[in-house]
Amino acid sequence: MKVASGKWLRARAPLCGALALGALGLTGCGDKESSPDAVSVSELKYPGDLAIWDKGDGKVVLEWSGANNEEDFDGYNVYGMKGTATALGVTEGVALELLDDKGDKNTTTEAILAKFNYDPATTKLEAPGTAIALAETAEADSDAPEFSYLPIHTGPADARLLPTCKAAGGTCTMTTAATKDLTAENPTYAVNGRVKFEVPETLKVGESYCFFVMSSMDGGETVSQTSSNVQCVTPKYSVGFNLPIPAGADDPRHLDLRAYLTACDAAGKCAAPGAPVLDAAAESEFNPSAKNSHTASDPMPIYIETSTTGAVGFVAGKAAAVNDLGYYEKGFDDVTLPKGAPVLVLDDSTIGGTGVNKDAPVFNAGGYSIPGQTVPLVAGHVYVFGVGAATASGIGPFHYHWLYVKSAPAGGNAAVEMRLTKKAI
Amino acid sequence: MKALSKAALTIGTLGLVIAACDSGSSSDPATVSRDALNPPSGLYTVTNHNSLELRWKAANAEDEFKGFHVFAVKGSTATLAAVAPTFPKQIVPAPTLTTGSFPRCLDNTKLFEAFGFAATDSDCEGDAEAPAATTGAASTAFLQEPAATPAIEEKLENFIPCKENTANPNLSLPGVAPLLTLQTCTITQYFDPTSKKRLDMKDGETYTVFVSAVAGDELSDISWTSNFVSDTPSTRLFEGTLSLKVGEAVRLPVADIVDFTKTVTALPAAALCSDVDPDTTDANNNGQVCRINRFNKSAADGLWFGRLGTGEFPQRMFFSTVAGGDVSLALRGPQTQDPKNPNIISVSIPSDQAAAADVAYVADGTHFPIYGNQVFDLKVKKAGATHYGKVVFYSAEPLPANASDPISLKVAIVMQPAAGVRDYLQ
Repeated sequence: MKVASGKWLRARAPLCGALALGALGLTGCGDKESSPDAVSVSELKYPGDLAIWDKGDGKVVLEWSGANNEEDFDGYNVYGMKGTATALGVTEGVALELLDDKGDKNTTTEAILAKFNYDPATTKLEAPGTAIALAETAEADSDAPEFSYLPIHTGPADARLLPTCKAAGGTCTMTTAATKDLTAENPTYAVNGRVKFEVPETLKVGESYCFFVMSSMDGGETVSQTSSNVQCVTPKYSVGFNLPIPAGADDPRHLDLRAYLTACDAAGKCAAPGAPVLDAAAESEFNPSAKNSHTASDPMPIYIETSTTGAVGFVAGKAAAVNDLGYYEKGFDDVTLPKGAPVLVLDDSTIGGTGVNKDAPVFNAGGYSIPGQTVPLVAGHVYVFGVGAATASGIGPFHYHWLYVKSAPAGGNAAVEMRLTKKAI
Repeated sequence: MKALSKAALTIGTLGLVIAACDSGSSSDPATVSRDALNPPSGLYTVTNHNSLELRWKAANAEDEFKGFHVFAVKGSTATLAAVAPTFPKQIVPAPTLTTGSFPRCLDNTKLFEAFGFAATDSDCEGDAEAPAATTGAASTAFLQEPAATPAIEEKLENFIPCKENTANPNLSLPGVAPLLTLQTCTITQYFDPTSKKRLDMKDGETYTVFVSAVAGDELSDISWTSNFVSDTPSTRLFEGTLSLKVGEAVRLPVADIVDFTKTVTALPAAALCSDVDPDTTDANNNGQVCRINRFNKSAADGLWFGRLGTGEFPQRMFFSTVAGGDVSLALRGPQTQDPKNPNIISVSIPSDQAAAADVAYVADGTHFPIYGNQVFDLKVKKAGATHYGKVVFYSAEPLPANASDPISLKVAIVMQPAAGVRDYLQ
């Protein structure tokens, strides 16, 4: 197979000088060849602090920190593949090392890289591809590359461009024929800070994908021997709609997130919810005399209530809880928004003495409301709804759904965006 | 004078070639290229009482890397805009003081003079010497030879020593530092170019800081700068433990919030919770659920902390301000989680600026439920000006076995005395 001649492969032995620099105490040298070549941090600094932004409906953005002023630095190689961390053999938050303590090929990492082999001609990020970079010399046997598995890249099979992306102004964009030769010798392409990269593929909602990044030199042929930390993401559904705000205390609404998720799964995407998912709420089973006093006994996961004084809030019902994450100027795009939902704590022993919360023994630790507790609905805030499975016990694995209140209620509605999690935890 | 020349300096015998300047010394380090010595990045500050905590990302694996120098002067990045650097020019988009990294060279002389560096005649392209652009008064302020054998920092009048850190980042990183790790340094002084001395920081005054990496046995090489950051130290108004029984409330009056000279040792008791919203009844509040769905319509303005309900759910505390009062709130949620100590709450919040948008602040008397591990921004009016601050609720205390017993929660209240400044403090 002919692969990216001059872009991915080269025959050389670059490790001696780099590894013997002392920074890592590596001493391994010889005639080994690698594809890509792995060089030590003294020669090429590796990226770190990789985080993943779930933009909804399968679109994700990677963001990492870089400190690459090396004159030959020319971008980053991005690796990604469907699978859980366990299945892919990686550990979230931990970097991969291409070489072992002796400077030899790390066979464990090599096996992992094979699982991340990307081939746009076949299955892209859905399953490892078959494309394997070979040494560009004719003596393939003697010059077999050590790390010959392909990151995300552009171009047809015989003209793949690497590195994956060129970083400038905080954004890493896919390498093109016009940019392939740009390096940090031009300071515009040096990196000192955070870099964002939009993954070109659309991932599948509810499936797990893992990613990592390596710094590159020489058109993707030379990479940092240490990768960034590995991070995984399970994409969520995305939807925007107008949330009706009850006009008064006698007009509460419910949002049946369990039924809504079922409908989203059936359609493969979420449409704006209507009745009966988002509808007038039945009176409280526990407080039938007060329509806007839903409690842990009531079946719907989320109620929207307006009090007699006009205050509007979310109230969780059976096996559910609400967490107000606070104000975020840019909603789901805000850099300060947590990437994961806070941990929901169940602890029946500390919740009251009468056992009225037995259907959802949520403890406030972690910032979740107990069921029946009003959480003010405030414009600009992001909320997490912990929704447990409707099992006989009322407590099952939880789906964590996110809601951003984009604007203050007007005309009886508040514009909201949601991210719905297909996968229960 | 040190130029960014193409002179090659070989370190060790292993072939690492650093494009370096003319040789520097501890008394006047040479600015070296970013390739040769990576500058720190991502600098931000945490506001403290008469001091600032600096945090930045280290990205140094150079063989002779030694640590970092910290520089601070009075004034904001806005005031330094008049002496903003003009090199490098070719970066797209053009860097600013708060986002960029800059070398000490001819085009940037005035900026560095503001930090006590001597005027330089080094050409920024590193190819030629050029006449000094200025002969500023600070030309002799930078670096004084040691009288005896003092610590390195004592040699450098415009170099600010770090305080109160377990790991002094100045000189204590031998060889290779972990890449992209968070470094911290608390400083209590700034450099005054007029007196050419280090002076103590004061609450309410704004300072601008930056950090550079240093290398070489004599600390003879210094990197380009980090980004520049401004911050204003200030004081803490209150820190203590709330202890509330069912129906109890305490209130911090607005007069105390905007005093800026006092420290409150105890929050005064206020009217019972049942009186917070005197124009409504609790007819629907049957005691089975927490019904924090009223508005605080008290005539007594200030910060209200209370505990509603009958005790079946003893964790139901609230925090609110008065509808239409001079104080408004913005819940910032889990920003209390400090990345330096991710498992604990900290009032040292990175990027600790209050929310800028008016829409972030709630002024309708909403009662926010309090569980612990929460931070609120405050916006307070005083004499037509706006002051910012924050309220931090620490981790929840264990709940009492008996609902009639008080529950406790530690809280800190901090205010920025400088009007319009959104920095607030630890």
